[in-house]
Amino acid sequence: MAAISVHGLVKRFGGVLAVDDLSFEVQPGTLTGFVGPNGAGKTTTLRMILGLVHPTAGTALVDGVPYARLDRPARHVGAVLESSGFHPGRTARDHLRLLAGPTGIPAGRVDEVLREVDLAGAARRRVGGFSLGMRQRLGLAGALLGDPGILVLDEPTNGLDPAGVHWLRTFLRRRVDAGGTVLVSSHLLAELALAADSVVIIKDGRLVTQGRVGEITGGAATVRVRSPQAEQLRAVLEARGVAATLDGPDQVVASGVDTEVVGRAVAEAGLVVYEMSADRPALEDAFLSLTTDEGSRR
Amino acid sequence: MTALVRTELLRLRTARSTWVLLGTGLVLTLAWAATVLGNVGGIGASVPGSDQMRADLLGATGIGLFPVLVLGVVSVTAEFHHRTVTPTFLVTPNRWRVLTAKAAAGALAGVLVVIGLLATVWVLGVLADAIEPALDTGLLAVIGRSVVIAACWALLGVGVGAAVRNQTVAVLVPLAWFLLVETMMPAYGLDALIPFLPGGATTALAGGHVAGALPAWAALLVLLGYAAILLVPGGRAIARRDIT
Repeated sequence: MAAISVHGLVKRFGGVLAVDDLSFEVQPGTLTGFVGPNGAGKTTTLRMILGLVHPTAGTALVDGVPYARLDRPARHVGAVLESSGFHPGRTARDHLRLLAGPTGIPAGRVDEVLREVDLAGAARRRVGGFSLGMRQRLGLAGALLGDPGILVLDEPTNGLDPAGVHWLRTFLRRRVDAGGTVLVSSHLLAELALAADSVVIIKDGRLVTQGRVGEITGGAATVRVRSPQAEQLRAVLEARGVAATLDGPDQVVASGVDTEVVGRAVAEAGLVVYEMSADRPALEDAFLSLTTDEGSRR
Repeated sequence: MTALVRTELLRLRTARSTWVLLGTGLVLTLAWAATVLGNVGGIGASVPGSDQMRADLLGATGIGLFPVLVLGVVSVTAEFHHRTVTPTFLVTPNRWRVLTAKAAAGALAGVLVVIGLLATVWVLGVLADAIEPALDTGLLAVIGRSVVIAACWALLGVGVGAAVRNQTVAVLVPLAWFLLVETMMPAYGLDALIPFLPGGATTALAGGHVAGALPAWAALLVLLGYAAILLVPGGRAIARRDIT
């Protein structure tokens, strides 16, 4: 069963169609990036999954049921949403105690999650004095309270410095490696490319594509090899039916292959190689080309 | 439900606005009581030790109903104002349950506040030799009526908070209603309506004088009716609202 499944989801705000017949699934145990340009409908979709926004049509299921019908949802899903508020006069600890109460989560767990996001020292400070990064971490602490299997994060890197982004990426990756499921939205793909297993790309409220990161960037890459026997290598590769061209006196560029194929050819021909690298089209490029293609077709 | 009500009580306790409101209520009540005590021996003043004197003094706690009402209003509107409603509804997706817990917590808080105010004024009256230190049925009746009224006003507050989206408007509308609209009714010859209005029903329930006052039970029904008229459509609107 998919951890999150969205089926024919539509949301109309007055005359604006924010989400248009959107369907996708998030498999358990994966880190899925939910990407699209600003205004693509990411936040609205996430809020529909979480029962905060009522869909005009379609369904969104979490662990097979609508969010509102989950028994103690904090035990299933933790969410960090943008513009999710904090009462500025409350302390970080009191904020979390209020979230823990209805689910029957003990106060000890509150202190535990505060430590987990490195906020233990600020537990008794008022949230009004927190930096954006601290608020993001407090939001994450709230999501972790019920130790949920699924985490949903909306633009969690906003307001984080590069160290914070790195910390978050490592944190999410570790959760997924431990069996958790993460759905994280971002308009900046580069931040996710390093960590995500699969991506869902949307634009104008519609699905552009969904798949594993490798599939979307295209498995076919170019391999660049530096060798004193460049011309010989080019011939060897051509003999194997690989398109290869010389780039300067000591470099060969083979396209449509991976490094394994090239490496094996090199070994069998007994050639000397100084350097070999694969140029994958970056996820960012794939994203841009996908979303712009979509734009030009309309 | 118990866990939800307890959480809502914690929410009230951990907001500074609660303590500011309660402090204001205490100061206003003490000022009113001091005026009554200062007037002893003056023209039209009640005799110290009389039942009327006790009623006058304990009646000072009536001003404390306004902070109780505002507390109820803010318990709902602050969630939208500070956008804490997102995490609140994430943890408890059944929005009716959240509103019910807020109503229960507000009523409970209102009852505790009014008991605290009554006790304070009573002790003050005893120390000033204006009240006999006796726990008779008359006193218990005053406490009973005050407690019921406080619970009703908290429910009215939560209802207004649910029905009116804007926090400032939601706080000002009920204050304007009780302090302006109902007091101006006689000037427009609308006296006959007063017993059926929230302020008139409250006075009747408190045992005060209103022309054509309803019996206490009917006054209570009137107050609960207003609370329901606000809570049900307000709750429905909140349940339908998209939390964006």
